[in-house]
Amino acid sequence: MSTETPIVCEHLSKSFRSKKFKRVQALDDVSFHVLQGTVCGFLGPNGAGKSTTIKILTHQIRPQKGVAKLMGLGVSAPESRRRLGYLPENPSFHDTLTGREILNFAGSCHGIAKNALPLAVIQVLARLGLAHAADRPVRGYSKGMVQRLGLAHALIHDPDLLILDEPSSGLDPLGRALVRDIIREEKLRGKTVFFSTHVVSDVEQVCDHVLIVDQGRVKADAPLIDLQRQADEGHYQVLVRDPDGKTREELVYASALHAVLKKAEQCREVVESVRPQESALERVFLRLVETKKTDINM
Amino acid sequence: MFRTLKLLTYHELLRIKRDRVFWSFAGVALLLLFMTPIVANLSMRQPAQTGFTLSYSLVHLFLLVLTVFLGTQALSRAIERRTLIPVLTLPFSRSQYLLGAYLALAIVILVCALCLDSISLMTSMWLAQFSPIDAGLSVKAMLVAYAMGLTKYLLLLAWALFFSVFSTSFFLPVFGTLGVYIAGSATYQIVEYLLSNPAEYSQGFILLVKVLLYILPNFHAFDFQVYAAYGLAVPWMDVIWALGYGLTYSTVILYLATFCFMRREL
Repeated sequence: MSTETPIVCEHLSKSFRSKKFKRVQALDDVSFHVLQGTVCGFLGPNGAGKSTTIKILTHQIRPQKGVAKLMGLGVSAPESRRRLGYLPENPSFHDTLTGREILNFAGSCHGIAKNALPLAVIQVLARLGLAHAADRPVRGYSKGMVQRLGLAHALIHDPDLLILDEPSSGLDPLGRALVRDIIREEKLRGKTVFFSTHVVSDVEQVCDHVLIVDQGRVKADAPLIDLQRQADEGHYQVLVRDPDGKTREELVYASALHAVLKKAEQCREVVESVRPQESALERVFLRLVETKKTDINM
Repeated sequence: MFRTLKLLTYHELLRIKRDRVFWSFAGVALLLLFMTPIVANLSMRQPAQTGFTLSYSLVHLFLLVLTVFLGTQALSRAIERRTLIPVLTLPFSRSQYLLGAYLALAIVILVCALCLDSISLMTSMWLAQFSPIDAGLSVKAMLVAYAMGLTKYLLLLAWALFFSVFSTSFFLPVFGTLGVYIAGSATYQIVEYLLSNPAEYSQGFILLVKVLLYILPNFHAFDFQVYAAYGLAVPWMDVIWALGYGLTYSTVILYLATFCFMRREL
């Protein structure tokens, strides 16, 4: 494994023309590095610039300003993608081809030897739970299966760097757990993972570094633990049933929780549940993007 | 480079092989082609010439439909359905992808042309056995006519890919390619009409018209059907010129398509 910085973005700017011919600034001077062996979560509300950044990194679009590099090479060089595994958001494949054919093609393009390819394909299909559907055309796959095939497509050549755009999208709870396990396994093997998501809990479970963007700008670029330390006081949702049998919900600060519970006991009310409202990272995220909770798809 | 091209070409061929619409077109073409001897026999005097002209036109109609269908679908549908994204993020350049796609489509058109032209040739020769008047039918000229027809559609395929690079809908690629085909087929007649009275036009205008004839392009340069049907001597210089023109023209259009595709944002 090389010692190059897997992802380097320096002063990236990108604007699009909207349907009403207005300029929309998707990225505004975005700079960050992702270091070797880290799992970096890329968080941001809808339209923050996450997909635009990933599209620049995978050379689907070009920045108006700035430089993006993968494994030390400019993203316009095809060789920069040699050790990259990429999962697009909602991946799509030629639906008349089978999963095995699609992976054979991807593996061959990445330079896997002809005699090693069948084993590599079946191993990655088994890892993603798709071995039974290997010879079925993709048109017969469910949405979750296509997403898993996309992951298999990204993993077939055992890449050093994984860029995953919303990897849990369209997956059931089992599939989401599988994605988290794969990210953890890749991290243990010293690989670098950069993934965008809306799901803050996924980031908290697997990442050691977090990048938060909003309105095309980097709002935070720090180790997860540092961001969690910055979190302010959290909220709890308390569900209380009064002596008449009516239930009510209360949102209380952590510091006031004890007093609320004591008061309920004094009033002979039954506390049915107490739930923490946001995780530490979630609170930091909400504070940084200055958005109401209800606007964020979590 | 060649390994990547081979992989891309094979991948595209695999996709086309599974395309039901392609097989439907091929089935209809075969059916109609096998019916040409029946129709040709209605001609009392020259069944072989009629059979050749009919089957040649039928093969060309099929190749036109195939070129427009495959050439316009290859990129625009892949962009529309987002199937291009996992492919283009593999370690090869967009120019390699475009060239691989062109080669795969060219192979499909070549194989179809070989199969259909063989049937056309065999039926024409079989019909010629029963008609002494048709003895003039020249196999050599027929082969030249078939080969030049194929060159014409490979040129049109380059145009289809060129239009496909710009658009995600099928309108521009389909109608753009058909427009080029119609213009390319009509230009020679228009130029001949304009040049029938050269005194009426300035030398500059005549030169401009002649240049435009080859820019549009000039599909008449690939038409050797008359030589085949009437057993005339093949003008080899014209054949070499047309081959060179077709090859150069296709290369230029493919280069322009690559230039645009490299800059296209997905």
